[in-house]
Amino acid sequence: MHTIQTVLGQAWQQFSDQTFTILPHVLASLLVFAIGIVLGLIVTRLANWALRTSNLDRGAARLGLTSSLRVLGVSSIVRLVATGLQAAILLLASILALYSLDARLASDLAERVFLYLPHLAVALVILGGGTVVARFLSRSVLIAAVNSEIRAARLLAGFTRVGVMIVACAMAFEHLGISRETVLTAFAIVFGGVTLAVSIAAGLAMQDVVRRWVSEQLTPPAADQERIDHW
Amino acid sequence: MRQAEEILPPEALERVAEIGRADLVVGVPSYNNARTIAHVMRAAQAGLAKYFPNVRSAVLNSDGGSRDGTQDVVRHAALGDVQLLMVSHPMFPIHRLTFPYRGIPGKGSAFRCIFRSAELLGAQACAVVDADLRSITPEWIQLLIGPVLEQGFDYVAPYYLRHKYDGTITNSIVYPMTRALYGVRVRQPIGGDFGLSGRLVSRFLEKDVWETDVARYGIDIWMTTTAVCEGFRICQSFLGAKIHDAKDPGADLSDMLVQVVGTVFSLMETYESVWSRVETSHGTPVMGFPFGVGLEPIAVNVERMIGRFRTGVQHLAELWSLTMDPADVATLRAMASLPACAFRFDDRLWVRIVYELACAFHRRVIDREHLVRASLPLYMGWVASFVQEVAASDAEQVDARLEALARAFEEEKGYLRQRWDGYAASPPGQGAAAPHQ
Repeated sequence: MHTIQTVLGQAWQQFSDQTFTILPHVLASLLVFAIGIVLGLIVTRLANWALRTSNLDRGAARLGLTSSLRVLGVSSIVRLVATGLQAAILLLASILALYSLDARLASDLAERVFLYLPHLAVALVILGGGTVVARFLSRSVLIAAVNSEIRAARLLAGFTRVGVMIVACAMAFEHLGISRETVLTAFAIVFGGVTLAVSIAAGLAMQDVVRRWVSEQLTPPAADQERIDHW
Repeated sequence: MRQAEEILPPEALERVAEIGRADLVVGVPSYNNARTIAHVMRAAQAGLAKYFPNVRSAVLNSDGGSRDGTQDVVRHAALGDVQLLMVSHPMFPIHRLTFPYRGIPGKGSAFRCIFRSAELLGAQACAVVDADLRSITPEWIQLLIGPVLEQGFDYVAPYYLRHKYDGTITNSIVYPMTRALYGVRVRQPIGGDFGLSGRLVSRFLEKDVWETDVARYGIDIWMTTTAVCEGFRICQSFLGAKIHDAKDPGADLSDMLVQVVGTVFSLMETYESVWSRVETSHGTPVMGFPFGVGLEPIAVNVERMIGRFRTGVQHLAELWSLTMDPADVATLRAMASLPACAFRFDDRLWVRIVYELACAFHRRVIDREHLVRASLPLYMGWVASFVQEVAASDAEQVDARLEALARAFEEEKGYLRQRWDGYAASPPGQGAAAPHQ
């Protein structure tokens, strides 16, 4: 009985010591995070106000970016920039909060995150660019197909958009290092399959042309009407 | 002093120096026109000899590297006492990739060479005619140059007798817009055959458009618009029927729209300060003696045009809604469900659509070429409606019909002004209400 009491007492003491050691770090971490949230909200409002007066959205509309951004779920560039600033402040606050908890852990995590950020940025650029290109090309195909009186205009445009997005996603995943081998293999299979299908379709459609050409090559020329003896 | 060496090749400069001076110049731009250019050259020479016998004159041919013997034909064309100058204008790969809806590729380059040569020769008047004309007569030269020499006009636009179904892009867009925007009634602003004064030729050469798409594909409308907007004296000359060499049946209509309509819209930006002040239009004098002539009937497949309109509504209405009022898009959808015999394109609706396109072009709501190409089904719908309306009409009734359309363009100009200024602030369907009737 005495032994159990002692053990429990020691355990409780250790727990209390550890808790009182960690608690300030946890509270500091929560405080930093809360400050980050509040600061993020303030900066977002200020950014919204400042950027609206700069006519950023009107400039984007003039450049024809509005409809492309709408596809990405972005209705306003001003809101996008403000949200981006808020996200950056939250990220910074999170890192500081982690430092408050455990400097070594936070340092490792921060290093990995910062090393990965360029890959993430490039992947986002590739996806964004791919979306814009896909939209542009699919619209070009749609308009050309409608004007050429092709019935499957919308289908062709859809294929074009999906094709470009598949390429963009494959490139983005490759940059992120996510299932690299799987993505590359799948892309090669799909691309190879499409090329094979197009080749078979073209070959079947042109078999008469090829047959005629081969026959012309192999048929001897008609006898010459010339009567000159050269010897 | 402008450096002529930059525009004309050395051999052309030598020939200009040899000729020395010419008071009248007839320019013929060419590219693979061996079949027809001999007739054009002979008509030019005969016109100069018959109507301007005591005036020093020259015929200029600017060729874009023809491969069918055009230049040999020109060289051997008998011109009597008239001096001949042959120039090769630069043809870049882009000129060969996209051919103009009519005329030769690189026409802007050809005109620049002709104008520069005319300026160096000190020409008082210059006429330019297409190399594929079959209906040109010597009288055309007198009708294009006479008003410049004798009555002091700077720009002589052609006035042709055309079949009622011919020139629909001129009838539906270019003529009524030029009239409503700039207040001048030039019936054939993209005719292709023009007379110009030496003064106007020099002004054209000062402009910085020769390396742009405007000069490549829209040189005719550019010349007319520039002459109108910069205060030059303009008249029209009645030339009778215009018969070209056979058109390429594979020519893409959407290319035509992009070239012509795109240039009209681009010029609206250049001359915004001019058209924004114009309230009404006035006529321009017509020279020559108007006469009737039999025109060959033209077959039109109305059902197919309406079909193209319906396909456009089905697939492109969503795209159109980015630039048009939702009420107008709804009206177009309703029109697509009408039977062919009841298919009619209201004038006011057409005018609003064209003006909305111009505003969307100005604001770059979407890619400009996409915007114009996507409007082809709408144009097809208007043409189908027009053909059905005037099927049983004579020339006078057709003129009255087109006059009503032109007046609609003028009356709706307030809508254009409102949309042009306030487009970014209030996209279609939002903000200020459009003055619909």
